[in-house]
Amino acid sequence: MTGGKNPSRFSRCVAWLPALIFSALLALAILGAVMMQALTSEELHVQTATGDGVVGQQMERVEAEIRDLAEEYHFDADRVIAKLSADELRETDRQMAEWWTRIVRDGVMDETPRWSSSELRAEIESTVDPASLEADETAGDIAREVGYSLEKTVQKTLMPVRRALITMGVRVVTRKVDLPAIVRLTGQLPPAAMAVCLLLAGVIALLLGRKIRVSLKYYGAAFAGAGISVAAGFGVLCLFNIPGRVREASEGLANQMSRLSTTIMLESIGAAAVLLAAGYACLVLYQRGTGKKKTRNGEHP
Amino acid sequence: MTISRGDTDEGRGRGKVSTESRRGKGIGIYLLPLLMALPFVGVLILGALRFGPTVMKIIGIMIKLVVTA
Repeated sequence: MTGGKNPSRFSRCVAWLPALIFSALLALAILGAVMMQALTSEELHVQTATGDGVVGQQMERVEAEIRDLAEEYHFDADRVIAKLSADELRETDRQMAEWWTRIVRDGVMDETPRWSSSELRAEIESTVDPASLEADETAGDIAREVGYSLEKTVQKTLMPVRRALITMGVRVVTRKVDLPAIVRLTGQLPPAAMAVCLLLAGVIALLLGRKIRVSLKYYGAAFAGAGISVAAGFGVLCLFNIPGRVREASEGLANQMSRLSTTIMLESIGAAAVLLAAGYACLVLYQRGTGKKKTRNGEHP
Repeated sequence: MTISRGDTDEGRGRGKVSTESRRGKGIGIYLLPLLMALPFVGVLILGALRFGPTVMKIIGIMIKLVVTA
């Protein structure tokens, strides 16, 4: 499908406008898709929250808390730590990630997942030093107090956010707007933008009289321009330094988010590289075609 | 031997001057993506300069409110 006559100068000039819109829309669609996936993908959030490095650091923090409590309440820290299960922490992390993504994706506020210290309480009760108990205290009382402190520590370690504020915020927002609908609509914007890009590609081809070789210049410039725009958009996002600010507030949450940040970075840079490569490939093909044509006829297409 | 105009380089429009201008045009085409990205990047930069400090302050306050140590 190469069309008939060469496109007029007017058509060639006008075709730059849809190419410009194509480039900007494609960049917005890709940046939007990357951000939507980062915010709403349950799989990604679960992987981020349950990574071995993250769970390992959470275990260290909980073990340190158990040792501090053991010094204060006089029970055997090693036996209690031996009962502490990384799989249980990982499972609670998974439930927390699902809870969070359900809020962001569906606007649904479920009950916050909780880690239970019931298994550890039995061990604490059996290892408390009876000589350290006060007159009206029992080992069970100590176990309950320590268990409660541990649950608070684990909740803060697994999800170092003020859940009451998030709950209140979501309730206020969902009373005023239909949050799930807005999230669904926002999620549909990147694919809609891609569809418009396809339409614009068709418009460019029509304006250029369906001359594929001539269209390559416009497509190449648009793709590579979109790649540069995506890279610039990611650069501006980096300026906000959200991971750095989160790390200042909470080391634990920053560690949990690091995988998320890496995913956003790799996807953005990867998309920019692919677009640049595709764009410049189109331009090289156009140049080669132009060179051959010029050799034959002595004129530019 | 008759040499027609179409047999020579000048006749075919290939000469030193046209080769150099073709090379110059070749480099120019690879700068087109930069021109295409200019409006988008310009809006991003202007937006970042205009709203960036405010957005960063809001993000900082929200992180401090929501995140615990």
